[in-house]
Amino acid sequence: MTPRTRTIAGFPVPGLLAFIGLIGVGYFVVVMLATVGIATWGDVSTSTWEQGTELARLFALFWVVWLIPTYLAPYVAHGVTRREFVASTVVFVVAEAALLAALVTAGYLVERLVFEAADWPHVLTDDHAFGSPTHAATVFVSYGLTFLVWASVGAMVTAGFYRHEGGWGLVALPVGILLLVPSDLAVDSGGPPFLEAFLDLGGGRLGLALLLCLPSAALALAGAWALLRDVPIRSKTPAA
Amino acid sequence: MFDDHSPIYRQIAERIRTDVLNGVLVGDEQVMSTNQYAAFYRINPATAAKAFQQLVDEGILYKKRGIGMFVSPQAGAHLRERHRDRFFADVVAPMAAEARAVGIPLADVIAHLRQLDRDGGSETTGGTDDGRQPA
Amino acid sequence: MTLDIEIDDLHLRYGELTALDDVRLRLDGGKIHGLIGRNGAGKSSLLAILAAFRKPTSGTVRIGGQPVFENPEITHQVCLVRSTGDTVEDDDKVEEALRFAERLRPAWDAELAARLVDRFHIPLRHAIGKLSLGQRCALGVTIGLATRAPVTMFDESHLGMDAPSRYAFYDELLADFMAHPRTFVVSTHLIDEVSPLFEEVTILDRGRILVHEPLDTLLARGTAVTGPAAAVDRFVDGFDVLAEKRLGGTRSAMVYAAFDEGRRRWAAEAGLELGPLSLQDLFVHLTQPTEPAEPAGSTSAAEEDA
Repeated sequence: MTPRTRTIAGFPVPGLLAFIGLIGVGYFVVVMLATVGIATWGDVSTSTWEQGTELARLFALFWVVWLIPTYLAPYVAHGVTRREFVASTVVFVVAEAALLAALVTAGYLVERLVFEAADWPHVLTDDHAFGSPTHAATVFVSYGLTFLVWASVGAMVTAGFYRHEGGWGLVALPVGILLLVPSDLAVDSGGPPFLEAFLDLGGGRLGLALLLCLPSAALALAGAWALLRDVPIRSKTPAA
Repeated sequence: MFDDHSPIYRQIAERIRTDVLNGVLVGDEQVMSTNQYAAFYRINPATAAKAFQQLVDEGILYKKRGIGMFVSPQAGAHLRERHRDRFFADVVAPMAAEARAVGIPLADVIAHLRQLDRDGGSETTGGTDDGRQPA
Repeated sequence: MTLDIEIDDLHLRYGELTALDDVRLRLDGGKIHGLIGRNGAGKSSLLAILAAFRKPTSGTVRIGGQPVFENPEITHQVCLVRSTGDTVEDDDKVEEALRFAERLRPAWDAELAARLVDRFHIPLRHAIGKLSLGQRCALGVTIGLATRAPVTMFDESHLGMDAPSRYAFYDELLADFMAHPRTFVVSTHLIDEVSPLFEEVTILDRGRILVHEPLDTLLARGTAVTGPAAAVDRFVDGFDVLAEKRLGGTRSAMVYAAFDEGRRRWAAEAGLELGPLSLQDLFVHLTQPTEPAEPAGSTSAAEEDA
């Protein structure tokens, strides 16, 4: 492996994705235990994992928001270009989205088994772009898009605040929200009525989600690149 | 280590000349490499190299390709000759001038020197006067 | 293969403030270069630009003939160490920082890093944020040396270290330079302490190159003349006197001039002592803003850098 391949494969620190995966699995176990708890005190009438995945969005966002300010300077200080860094970030965002989407999908499948064994109804509350929680492919794509957009927007807004001068953070934030909301709604509505009417396409729902999410994510990542491509690495304390 | 009297490379050269003069370094003996000098005195190797080059130009050192720097066999004699000349010019002549200026007859100076010669015997002390201005 | 540094028409402005003004400089590869200047002279800015930490406002910066900024071929071969520790994170442990460096730096020498960590007494298991200033600086120079980057630069990275540690650093720097020749640029305020390591010296003053010369040449430009005041007065008359000290009847004048054999004899006969100026003396007096002593040699030295 060349140093560059090694850099991208282990970005930003080796083992991070495995670590994220482990947390995901642990989180699933916690949700299932909580479900058992709910069953003890009351009724389990809907999927609890579905509620659990709300946090997953923030979880996906968190890692990207953490890694840019933490690792951009050390990477550049070790001779990696900003372009290489952002490219690695993009790979990370996609890999993270895929990983978390896979975990969520697997979670639904395991939850189905658990619910069937416990004779609880495996029902969803929100309106999703996927039909059934066990249609693995559509579940995976749906959540994958969600995490992709959240992480990408996270990257762009973080880049804006990192760049700082010119108040780019304050510009990136509303732009980020603008990119995030429609995409997020396309995947999981609970949103405005006109969107519902627009979305009465049945199976075309996923197609629409793809149409909105992929460009949004791409734009957000492009925005992150534009903000970081020549950002200065400042001293941590004032220069002598 | 090094004082402020002259540039470092001159002091290194002078130190090696002194060692040759005193017989601490003998003909065809290998001297420390420039890198060893640099490390020992904590200076840039180019500075040490400059000192060595000066000594090579003077004929005090010669270089054996791939092995190192060596003292020229005639370096000792050469330096003693030069030191002798400088001694008379820089020490004896001014001393005589000062004696005259102060009013001491040279005959007294000569008598004093003869006394020292009898007392000192055949002791030869090397001239390790580092305060000297370099050549 | 050693890499040269070529800077042309370099300007760096932060809004109204000009940090670097029309800098032209050529630093030969394979040498230890000193970079000195007063606070705010622009040393850190210059080094930051060389390391691609910053983009210049205008001008060209080349290392090994290639542009630097965002050029991975070059940036992978450059290492800048600042006392603020850009390569490390406070939450990380020392050993994590070293592993991180090892991953990203193809020429990393783990044995050297281990030996230096030991020599500087840096605790491997401690978080970097918990280290003392001296240990942080020592870690910085450890990473700088073990990286073995063809262009390695130290921006006052020894500032927080105690004297024994600093001297250990100089020894290690010299030893590694001789074992693995490469281009070093060392910026420092401890001029007389560090200057024997330099082969060439660049003095930066208010964003401009004041002098760039071999160390010996620069040192030869000045002479301290000490002796009876009247004799000194006669001797230095007509020369550029940078500064002087008087004690009773004795005067010591720092003159920006080198004297030939004839004048040296005159000095000896007049009972005057001639000695070199330290680099620090020269530096302090060359960079005094009120002094008109912009040495005649320096502008030609700057032009020779092309």
